[in-house]
Formats: sequence, structure tokens, C-alpha cells
Amino acid sequence: MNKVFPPTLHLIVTLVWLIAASYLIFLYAPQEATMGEVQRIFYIHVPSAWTAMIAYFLIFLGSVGYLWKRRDAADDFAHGAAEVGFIFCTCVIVTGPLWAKPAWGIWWTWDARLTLTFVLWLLFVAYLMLRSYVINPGRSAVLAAVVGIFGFVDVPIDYMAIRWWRTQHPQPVIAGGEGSGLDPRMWVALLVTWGAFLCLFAYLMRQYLRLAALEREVTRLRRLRSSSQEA
Amino acid sequence: MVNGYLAVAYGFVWGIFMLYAWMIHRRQQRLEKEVAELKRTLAQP
Repeated sequence: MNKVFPPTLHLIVTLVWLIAASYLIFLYAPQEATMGEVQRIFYIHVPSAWTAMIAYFLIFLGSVGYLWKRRDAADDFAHGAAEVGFIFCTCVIVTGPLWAKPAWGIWWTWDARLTLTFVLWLLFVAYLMLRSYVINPGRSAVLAAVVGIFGFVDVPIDYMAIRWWRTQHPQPVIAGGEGSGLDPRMWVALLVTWGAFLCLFAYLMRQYLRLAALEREVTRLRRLRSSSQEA
Repeated sequence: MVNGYLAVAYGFVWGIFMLYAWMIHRRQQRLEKEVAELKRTLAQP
């Protein structure tokens, strides 16, 4: 992977993609009629939410893989998805109220979608806290994998919440039924931004996996040093 | 005139990504240095 698509090239592609997305958001997409300029928060809020949900799905896959095969690579993959996914989920939790205040007149309400997204954020926090506070690496990986698997239940319910219940949160833009949907130019801006966010997510995941490999190398070399000192 | 909420939202998102990328880069640099030091120690007779 590193030879075909080196990390530096990946970073350049991500930055160019983000610049193109910014152009589409601020100069190409039309201004929304009722909310005005503030509606442009939508273009970072929604792709962040979709990416955070994909991240939790990757945690689920990595966790299942680790419990099944006990391979460190699966654990690193799940841990990386949790760390990077947490950043995206934090973006959702912060940009949501910043959009809600001017649009609804309130920062927050405990409706189904908002509450389930907050629960998702707490699941990311729980996963990362487990990794930090449980000292035994094997035990930490197993406990985190259990959180990763059981916590995934929240993701489909969160995704479907605005379809199943009438909530304060707007109805879905994809498959939301009659009356839902977007101006085609808004669609272009939304999908290009989501693509840029996925590219950024993949770049940060690669960086995390490199970090995890270095951590394992340090542990291996320390053990080697200890055994050579004992000998 | 840029909307204040919009500016804070975009500022936060770009800020947190740059901060995380910088933090991960710092952690990598520290570990690379440690790996090099450990290898040097182990190479000594």
C-alpha cells in the first residue's frame, strides 16, 4: 500500500479534495432559503456523522476479528477506528448545537436522534477510556472489543431514529420519502465533502496504524534489551 | 458578512483535525526516536 499510494501523496490528495469541497460549499452550493448562510454547517455536520457511523462499524469488524483470531492487527484496526472516529463524532456533537441554536432557537433537546448520537459519542469515550485505564494489554483489548461489539447496536438505531420517530431533528435527505431531498448542487457539495472526509479518515487511520506498529516495535525492543541485560 | 455560528463550526472542525494530525505526528516522532535509541543500545557489544 505504501509503495502504490505513499502517505505523503495521500495527504496531498486529501488536502486538495478538502479545498475543492470548501469551494463547493461556499461558492457553488446555493444559499438555503429559510436558514441562510448558517445552513452551510450541514456540509460538515452530515458527512462527519456518516463517517463516525462508518468508524464504529469498523470498530465492530475489528473487534469481532480480534475476538475470533486474536490477531494484534485486528485490535490495532479497531483502536485506530475508535480514535479517529471519536474526532469525527466530536465534530457532530459540536456542530449540531451550533446549527440548532440559530435554526431552532435552542442548543440541544433530548430527542431520539440527538440522544442516540450522544450515546454513540459516549461509546467512543468508553472504548478509549478502557484502552487507557486497563493496564494489561490483552485484557484491555478483550474488554474494548466487547464494548465495540455491543456498542454497535446503537449505530443502526441512531441511523433509523429520524425514520422511526417524529423528532426535532430534520427528516433524512436520503430515502426520506416525499418532500425530502436537496437541490442537485447541494448534493454535489455534500457528496464531495463526504468523499474528502472519508479520504481524511483513511489518512488518519494509516497514521494511527503506523503509530501502533512503532509502539509494538518499542515493546519488542525493550523486552529484547531486558533479556540481554539478564543474560 | 460571515455568520458567527458558521465560522465557529468550521473553525472547530478544521482546528480539531489539525490538532489531532499534529499530535499523532509528535507521538510518531517520539517513538521513532525511542526505536533508534533501543536499536543503538542493543547493537553495542
